[in-house]
Amino acid sequence: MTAAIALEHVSLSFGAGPVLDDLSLEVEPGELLALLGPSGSGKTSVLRLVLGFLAPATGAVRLNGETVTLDGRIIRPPEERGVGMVFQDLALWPHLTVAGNLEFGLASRGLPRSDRSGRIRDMLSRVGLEARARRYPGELSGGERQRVAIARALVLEPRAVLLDEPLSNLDAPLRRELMVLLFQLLKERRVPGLYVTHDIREGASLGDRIAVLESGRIVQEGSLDRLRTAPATAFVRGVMEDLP
Amino acid sequence: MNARTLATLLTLALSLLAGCTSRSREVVVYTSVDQVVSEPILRDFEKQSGLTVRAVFDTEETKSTGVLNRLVAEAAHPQADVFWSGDPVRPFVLIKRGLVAPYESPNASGIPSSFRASDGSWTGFAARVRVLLVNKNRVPASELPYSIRDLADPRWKGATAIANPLFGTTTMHVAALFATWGDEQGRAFLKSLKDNQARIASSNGEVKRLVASGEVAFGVADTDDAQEALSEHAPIEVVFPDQDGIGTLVMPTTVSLMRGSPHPEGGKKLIDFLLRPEVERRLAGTAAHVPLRSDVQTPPGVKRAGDFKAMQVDYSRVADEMERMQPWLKGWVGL
Amino acid sequence: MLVAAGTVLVLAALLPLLSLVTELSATGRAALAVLRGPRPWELFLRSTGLSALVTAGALVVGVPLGVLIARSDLPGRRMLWLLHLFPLFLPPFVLALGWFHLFGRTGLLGTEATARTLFGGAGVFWVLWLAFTPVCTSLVSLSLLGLDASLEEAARLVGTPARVASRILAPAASPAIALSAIVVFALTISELAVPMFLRVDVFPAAVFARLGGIDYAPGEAFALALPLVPLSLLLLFFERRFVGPRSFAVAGLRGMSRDPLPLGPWRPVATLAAWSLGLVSLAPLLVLLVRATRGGGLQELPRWVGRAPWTSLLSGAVAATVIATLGLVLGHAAARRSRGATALDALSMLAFVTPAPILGVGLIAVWNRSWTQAVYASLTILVVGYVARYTVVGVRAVSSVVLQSPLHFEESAAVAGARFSRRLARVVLPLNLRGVIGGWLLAFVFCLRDLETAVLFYPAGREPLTVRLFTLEANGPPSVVAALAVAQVTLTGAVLALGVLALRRSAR
Repeated sequence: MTAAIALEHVSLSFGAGPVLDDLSLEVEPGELLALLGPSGSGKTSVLRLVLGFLAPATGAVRLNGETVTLDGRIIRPPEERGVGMVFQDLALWPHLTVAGNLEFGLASRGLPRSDRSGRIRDMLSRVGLEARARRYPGELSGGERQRVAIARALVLEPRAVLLDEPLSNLDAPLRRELMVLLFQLLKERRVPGLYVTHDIREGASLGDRIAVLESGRIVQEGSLDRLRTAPATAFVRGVMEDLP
Repeated sequence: MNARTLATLLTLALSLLAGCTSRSREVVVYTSVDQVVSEPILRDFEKQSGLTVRAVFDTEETKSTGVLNRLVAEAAHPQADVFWSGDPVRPFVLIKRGLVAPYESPNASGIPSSFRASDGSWTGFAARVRVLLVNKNRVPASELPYSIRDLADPRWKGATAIANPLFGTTTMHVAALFATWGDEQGRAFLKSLKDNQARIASSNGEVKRLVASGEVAFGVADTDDAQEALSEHAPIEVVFPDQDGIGTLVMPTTVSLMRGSPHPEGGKKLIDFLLRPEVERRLAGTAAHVPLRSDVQTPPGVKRAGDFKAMQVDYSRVADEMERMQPWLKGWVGL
Repeated sequence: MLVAAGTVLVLAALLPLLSLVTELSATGRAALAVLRGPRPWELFLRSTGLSALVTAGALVVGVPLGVLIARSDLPGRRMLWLLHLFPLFLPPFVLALGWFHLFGRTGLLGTEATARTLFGGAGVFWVLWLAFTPVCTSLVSLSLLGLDASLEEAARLVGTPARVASRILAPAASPAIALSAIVVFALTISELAVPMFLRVDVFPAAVFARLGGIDYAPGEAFALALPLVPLSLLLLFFERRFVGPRSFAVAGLRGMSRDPLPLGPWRPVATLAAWSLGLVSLAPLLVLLVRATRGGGLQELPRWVGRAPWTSLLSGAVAATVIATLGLVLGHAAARRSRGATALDALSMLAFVTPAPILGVGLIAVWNRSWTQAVYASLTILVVGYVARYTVVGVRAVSSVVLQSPLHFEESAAVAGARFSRRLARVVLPLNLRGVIGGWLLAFVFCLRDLETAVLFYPAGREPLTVRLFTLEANGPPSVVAALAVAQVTLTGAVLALGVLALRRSAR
């Protein structure tokens, strides 16, 4: 089965030293892969590679089998990859309303206006924000902004979704609420996803599989049970011990 | 506002800029005659003819050569219809380069033949005269200078002024002197000016200011500068130099029609207008220009061409002289 | 899109410069011979010396004044800044005219001695120093207003206000100081009208005068201007090295009411000094108004002013719009370090520091052809000239604002499928609108005040107001000339007022 997202033997360095070192990773269709790792391990770089904002010195990035980056060359620019992203700081456009934020991508893709409003309405009601359609991001609460970010990524019906620690800025009750929503949305739509986090509990709750990134390499990947019973490195063992 | 709207607006604005006036009902004139003097006359022409006049005037500092050079620079695609020159010599630069179209105006008949070309390539009228402006407070009546050569008189060391001979009427004056005296005497005279520390002013207007303020005792400028100084109540005496010698230089203003110009018919109409006796009379009244026609009335204080001894010059020869002496003159001026 | 913007800039600015290089190679040795004498070099040294002096003077006064205005409790700081800044937006020639009517021989307070001082190097220094010091004051103030408040607060816990100002604030403003030095130097060295008016021979004026020599030799004029090229490149180098892509944008002037540094016992002295400077800058304008009223200049104005104000406004507005658009594309590219952006930014800076006559002659050579008459014979050529000269203003204004704008807004737009032009128009522009409008306004004002660029090739009968003022000055009735100067001041003031209103509106 062709992987939805595949990184093959990817190496990347920024001046000081290697950030990613011969890293390979695959996200299967319909699966949510949690990418775990301490800060500075290169998690954000992995996302930027998949999005097309970075190119590795060597290695390939493929989406549904299509090679989009190869050995330093970005073959498909970010706007043509059809990948959705929920940024860590959300990056909601402050000058557009909630509906406007959702419409932007739809209009960029050339969807006719009549179709756009329908999709936006459906999406907003799915995340419980129909009443907020005309508000600006500055007028929303933290949790509401989070939902907009998620809705914005999913309304485009992407071939995959990347999430960069999307819940880290929220307090515990809100986090749980949104985790549930996120899980449901992704599973409903069968959208494959790569979920970056440093919180093992989040990763464990949401991810079908977990991959652990340490010093630029994937040191272990598999189900939670697998990692628990046979941790490959000290770091993995330490992380598993944090779980209740 | 999106990019398309912006682009549309910009195109609209540019077309507004490009086609600001309708092209056919206008005439373009480049002139080195002082804007203060020429502009009102051009406005009158506009009213009478219904044509729009678009003019380019010269800045004082590059008097008459700036406009001339623009005419030459634009030769590949002439923009001007008429060149109204403040002196009779610069048109020759254009004539030699084939940029002038001959036109004999019906109104030129009253002008003496020595002040116009037989083929109509240039026609002179309303002249200025090179005169000495003397500060009465610094120079007692008994010691008034009488010749151009007095500028180099050691009695007046550092107290005389002449405008930069690379520009304006001074160019013509110096060239006329060279044509009359010959190269050797001409160069000697200029050298003696330097030895006498004569001030090289940036323009005739500055010479006027220097004399009026008493910074120098006297200087050479044009009759309209003299008239201005007098109207500003400066303590000035006007002397027509070399009346018992080579004579005083007369510099008619001239008009020429430009070859290949965008509006030749309008150009001809403008030339006809400018050559009317009323215009000469008006220029005599407002700018102390000396009329060339014998039948034009002048206000008191303004002489007519027949009232004094004029320097005998062949303007064409003076034009040649001007071009020939350029390199030496540049060296003399220093830049 | 960068390619399109780059092409426009190259057409406007680079082609004229290149055409002169070809002229030079055509007239070759004869042209270069003009540099063999001592006089051009004397003038060059004089110009450079004068510019250095004016720059030094501007810094000596502008830096402390900028700190005082941005961060002290000087009374009426906002008003003072406005008064001090306004003359910068006028052609320096207008200011010189005002000083002439004050201290010239026939001036309100004029004597022999004052006239002699005015019409010389001291006078040129005085006029240009007063005109250009606000560049330094304003850049320093803006830089400090954008400074992170906590840096200053931390210093104030342990240091006196004076130490905070000299050890923390002034160094923090060093890129602004460097940039202002470069701008003042460039403005001074290309200044033509003021030295010409005050009868001081300077190098660019000599170049301009050479273009008016009897035999038209642009190659010679260009050869004469050659010494200015390494100077321009040197300025460019300083700019890259000490200024670079740094931001001077501020969210607003709210920072001025943020807890200011107390001046304590120094307050009366500082107030007197600062306000004297502000009021002195305005003196020439008031004198012009007086002169225009006496002698009936204002009544005569309609007869003399013609279409010039309309020409100035129209060509300025269109040029400013083109500059703002180019600035958006190139400024964004420069801020985001896109390939090619550095070269284009450098080109725009080079065109700004190149003396106007050089640019002018090149523009005529490039655009006066049969198939470009629609451009050359219309106001469009003025727009081309202004764009060539002042694009740098738009580029710098936008890049400094974009640098403060987080990249992720653009990245998320890319991820959402928007191509570059759409991202620029729908995300970058709205989020940086104030910077773009500010750049537009600044470019407009620079075009309004321009004399040297337009004077060489303005279409017949369509001179901007500055040119009309300049050509009439020599022989026109003094009160009318003063009235024209007042018209120029009023025009500029009106444009600025409207622009500031627009800026206020765009702040959400």
